[in-house]
Amino acid sequence: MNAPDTATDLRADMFLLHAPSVYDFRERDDVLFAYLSDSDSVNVTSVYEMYPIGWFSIKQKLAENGFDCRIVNIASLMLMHPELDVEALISRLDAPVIGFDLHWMTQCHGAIELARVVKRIHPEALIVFGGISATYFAAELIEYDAVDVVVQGYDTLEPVTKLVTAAVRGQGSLADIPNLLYKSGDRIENTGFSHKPAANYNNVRNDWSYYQQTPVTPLSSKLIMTLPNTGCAHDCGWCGGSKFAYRNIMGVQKTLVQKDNDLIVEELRTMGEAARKTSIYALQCYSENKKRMHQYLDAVHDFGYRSVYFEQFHLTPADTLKKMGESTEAYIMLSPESHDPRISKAAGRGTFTMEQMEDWIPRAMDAGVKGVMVWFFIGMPYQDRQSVRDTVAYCEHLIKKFAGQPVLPLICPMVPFLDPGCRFFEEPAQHGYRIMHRTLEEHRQAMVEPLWHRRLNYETEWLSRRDLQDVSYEAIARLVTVKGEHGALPDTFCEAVLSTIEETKALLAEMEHALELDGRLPADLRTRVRDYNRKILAYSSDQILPMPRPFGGRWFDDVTVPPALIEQVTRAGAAA
Amino acid sequence: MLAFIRDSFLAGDPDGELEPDTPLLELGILNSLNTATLVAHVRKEYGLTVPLSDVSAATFRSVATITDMLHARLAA
Repeated sequence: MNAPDTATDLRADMFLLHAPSVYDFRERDDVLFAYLSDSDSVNVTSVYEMYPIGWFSIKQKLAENGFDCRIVNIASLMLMHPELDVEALISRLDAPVIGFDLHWMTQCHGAIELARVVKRIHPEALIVFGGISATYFAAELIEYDAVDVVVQGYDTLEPVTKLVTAAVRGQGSLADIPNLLYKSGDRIENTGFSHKPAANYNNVRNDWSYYQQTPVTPLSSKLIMTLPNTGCAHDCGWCGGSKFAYRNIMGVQKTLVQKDNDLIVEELRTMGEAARKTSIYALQCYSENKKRMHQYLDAVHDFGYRSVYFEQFHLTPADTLKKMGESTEAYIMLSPESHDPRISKAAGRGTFTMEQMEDWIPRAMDAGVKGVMVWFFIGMPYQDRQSVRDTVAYCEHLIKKFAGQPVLPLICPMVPFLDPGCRFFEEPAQHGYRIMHRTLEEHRQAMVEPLWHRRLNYETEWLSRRDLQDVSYEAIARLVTVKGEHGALPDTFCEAVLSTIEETKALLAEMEHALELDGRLPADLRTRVRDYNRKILAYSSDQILPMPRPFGGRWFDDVTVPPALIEQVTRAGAAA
Repeated sequence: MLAFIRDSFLAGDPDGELEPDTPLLELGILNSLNTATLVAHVRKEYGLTVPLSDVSAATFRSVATITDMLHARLAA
C-alpha cells in the first residue's frame, strides 16, 4: 500500500466536525434506523446530518480575526461515501482546536463517540463542545474524557474567538474567557456563564457564496436557511428554544435576541446571481416584527430569490401576505399541532382556530402565496389515539375543501426526544408527561436502543411510548392514503410510503418479540436489520416530498474535504 | 411529455415557449416537486419506473433528454 499523500491533508486553526447521530451507524445490526423515527419533517435521515446554521457565524467571526475555521460534515460524508474510513480521514485533519455541536440532542451519542476517536488520534488537540444541549448538560458533558472545553450559550462568537486565540497564538488564558467549563489538571474550572448579549445575535454576515456553484439537480433544489434571531417570542411547552427554556437554560429574562437585519440582508446578497435558482427556508421568522419582515422581503425581491418558505405562528396579516406574494414564490408553514383548540393551546399554539385558518387560506392564495403547509404533531398534552385519528380526519377535510389547491396538511411524531430544558421536561407531572431519560448518558444510551419507541425520553398520560410509535405509523399511513385518494400525492409515492411503513412495522414487531423472548436479536434478524438500514440510509426524503433523494447538493452536505482526499480514505481507495 | 409539462407546470404555456430542448432545470421549470410529479406520471402513463440513478441533471435537462432516456429504458 502506498504511503498517504499528505499534500492533501487539511490544515486549519479550527475544525468544526458534525457527527452522525450514532457513531458508527454503518453496518449496525442492533439498532433499527426506522422510517419515521426521525419524524420525516425535514430532508435529512435519522443520522441527522444537518449542522447548526450558527457554525457559519463562528467560521466568519474567526475569519475576521485571521483564523481559518473549516466545517467538515462527517455525518454527510459517511452517508455519501459509505466506505469512508473515518479514522483515516480524522488522521488527515490537522488543527489545534476541534469543535463539535451538541445543539440538538440527536447528536448526543455520535458527537461524543467521534470526539473519543479524535482524542485518540489527535491527543494534543483541544476538543470543544457547544450548542443548546451542550449548555443544558454542560456539567455532565465536561466530565467525558474526550471533552476538554464546553462553551455555553446561544451566542458564542466572542468566547470561541478568544479560545482559538489562546490555543493558536498563545494569547490570553482560558480562565479569562466567559462561558467556559474546561479541564485544568484534575479540576473542572467554570469561568461563569456571563456572556449573554441582549442584542446583535451572532453579529457577523454569514457567507453563502460557497453554495453558489452547487449544481441544481432534478431532485435537489438549492435551499439555504436564514436565522434572524435566537430564543423565541413564544412559549411552546415542548420546545428547548422557547421563552421558558431560554430562561431555564440560558438564564436570561429577555428570551428573544435578534440579529442585525442589515446583516441578514447582506447574507442574502452572498448568493449572487445563483439566488434566482435558490429557495430559502426562513427559520424563526415567526418571532420577527413587521418592519424586519418587510425589510427581509424587500431583500428577497431585490436579489431575485426563487422561493421562500416562511414559518408562521399566527395567520399572516394581509399587508405582509401581499408583500410575500409580490416578493417571491412564497410558501407558508403553519403548525397548530392539533385541530383541537384545547390541545393546540396546551402545546403553546392555539393562536387561531381551524375555521379562522380555513377563511384565511383563500386570502393568502389571492395575495399570491403559492402554497400553505399545515403541520400537526403527535405527543402533545391531552392527545390520545382518538384525537390523533380526529386530526387526520380533519386533514382529509382540508384536502377535500381545498382540492386542487396547494394546501398540504402533514403530521409527524415528536421524536426522538422532548427537549431537555423545556417546560414539559422540567415540570412533567403538571402537564401529563413522564420523563424516561434525564441525564446526558441516559440519552446517549437511548440513541442505540434497538426499538425507537424505547429511545423516546417521554411518554404522556394519554399515549405511552409504544402508543406513540403505533399511533404515528397509523396516522401517517392514513394521511398518505387520503392524499393518494384525493390526488394530493401521486399514488406511486403513496404505495412506496405505505409499503415502507408495513415493512418497518413488521421488522419492529419481530425485533420486539425476539428481545422480549431472549433479550437479544438472532443472527438472521440482525442481517435483515442491517439490510434495512442500508436501504433506508441510502437516500433522504421528507413528508412534503416522499421520494428518495440522493445525497449531495444540500447546503449542509460536505464541501470541505476534496475528492482526492476522500478517495484516499475510502476503504476501496486504501486497498488500491 | 411536452403537453404534460405545459399543462402541469406552465399553466398551459400560453406563449408556446416550451420546446423539446428548453433547459428545464436552468429555467426552474423542473424543481424537486415537479420532478417527482413527472416521475409519477411516467410510471402511470408508460408503466416505467425511473430508477433514482436515471434522475440526474443530464437526463432531465430537457424534454428531449428525458424522452431519450425513456426510449432507452423501454428498449431494454
